[in-house]
Amino acid sequence: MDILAIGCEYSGTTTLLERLQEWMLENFGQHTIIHDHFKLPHASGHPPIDPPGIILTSEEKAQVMAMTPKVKEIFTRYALYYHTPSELGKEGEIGSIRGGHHIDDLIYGPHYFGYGGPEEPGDRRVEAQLIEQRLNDYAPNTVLVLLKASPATIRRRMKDDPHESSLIQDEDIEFLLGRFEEEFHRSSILNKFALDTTESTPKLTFQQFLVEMEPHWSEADRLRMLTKDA
Amino acid sequence: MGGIQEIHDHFKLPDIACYRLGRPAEPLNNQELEQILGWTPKLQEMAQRQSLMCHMPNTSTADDYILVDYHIGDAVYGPRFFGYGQEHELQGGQRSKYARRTEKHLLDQAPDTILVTITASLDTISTRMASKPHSYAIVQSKDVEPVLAAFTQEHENSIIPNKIMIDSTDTTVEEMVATFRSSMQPFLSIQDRRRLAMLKN
Repeated sequence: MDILAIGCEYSGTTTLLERLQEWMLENFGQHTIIHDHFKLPHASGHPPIDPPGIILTSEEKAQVMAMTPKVKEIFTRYALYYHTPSELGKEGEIGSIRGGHHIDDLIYGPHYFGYGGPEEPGDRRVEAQLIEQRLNDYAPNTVLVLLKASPATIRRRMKDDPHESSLIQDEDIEFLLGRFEEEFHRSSILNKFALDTTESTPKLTFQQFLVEMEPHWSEADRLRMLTKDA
Repeated sequence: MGGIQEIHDHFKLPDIACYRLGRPAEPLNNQELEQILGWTPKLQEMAQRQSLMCHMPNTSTADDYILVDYHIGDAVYGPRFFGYGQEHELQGGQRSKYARRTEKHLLDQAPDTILVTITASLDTISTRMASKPHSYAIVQSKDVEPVLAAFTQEHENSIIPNKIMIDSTDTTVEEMVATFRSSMQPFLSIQDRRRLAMLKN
């Protein structure tokens, strides 16, 4: 199972992936780390599994934010390729859970960090195509999940439960929601579906996720579900 | 030999910049280089580890793929000068052990890889450092001896079966290249030989 969940910040990607991680433990008898560290300054760490030393400190986050656009571009590009398979996994491998990944980078890089714009060094449209080519070649069962919510819902969540080092700005919400929708449809990943979390709870959204996933589970996933208590 | 070569010689901090596609950016300026050197060991480790993986041979479509220092430089310099990759490193463990893992990947993807270690005497290195110093040089005079020893140790520990060590102490560049060419002979692949034969005819 390879899941790539995308969506504007506060749309519910991290909540969904954390629930998926718990669900995997219950239903697969094993789980995997979540790579949800593609929104600067969050560049490292896989809570809750990693030891604290892996997660960036405040000082390190400040160093990330202080990088010039040129250095940010290199730093994030290396991280993206590092987290994209470059060879086929072994049969039955658990797979990966990714949040944001190249789509976050493609949208946030040019908009907030001044790198990767069209025709610029590290043009993210080009890099995103190559990343997807690798995903399609080496993780062909990847499922792209778009989480979306209404602008009013995003604003309410921003106010009620603000993220540490939050990235998005109030005035950008409509634009960003549109960009994620656009990139979701443009993506060459064939297995994809969208979940609207506007009127939903995390529990309901996860149930909907499981329904939508039904055609996409791999043989190994189904065998894990069947044999977890064997 | 003809063909297309891809050369990556940017694995010594603070030199991390690489553009494989499209238009490259301006070289990193002093402010950026200083920033990189000011990163905590955790950030430096992350950037280097991720760069190593990004530059694995199967990411290239070139006919010849040349990596300079790469994981060996990382294993030698990381723990000594940048404070990462020591015994209790959280990411991948001790760098000299991580280097062997990197080599396993490397050999899976490019089994005909040749490890070429260039060495020189202490005096020669010191003379070169004095006459043509590098900007942002990592190695200072007092470090030369242990660094030379560490490169030799990594060369010996490497699991890359095809390896050559060349002493550049009393040689010209031309002589060194000639030594390299003759030392390479047993390791040339059939594809390399086809290309050489085509050039001769």
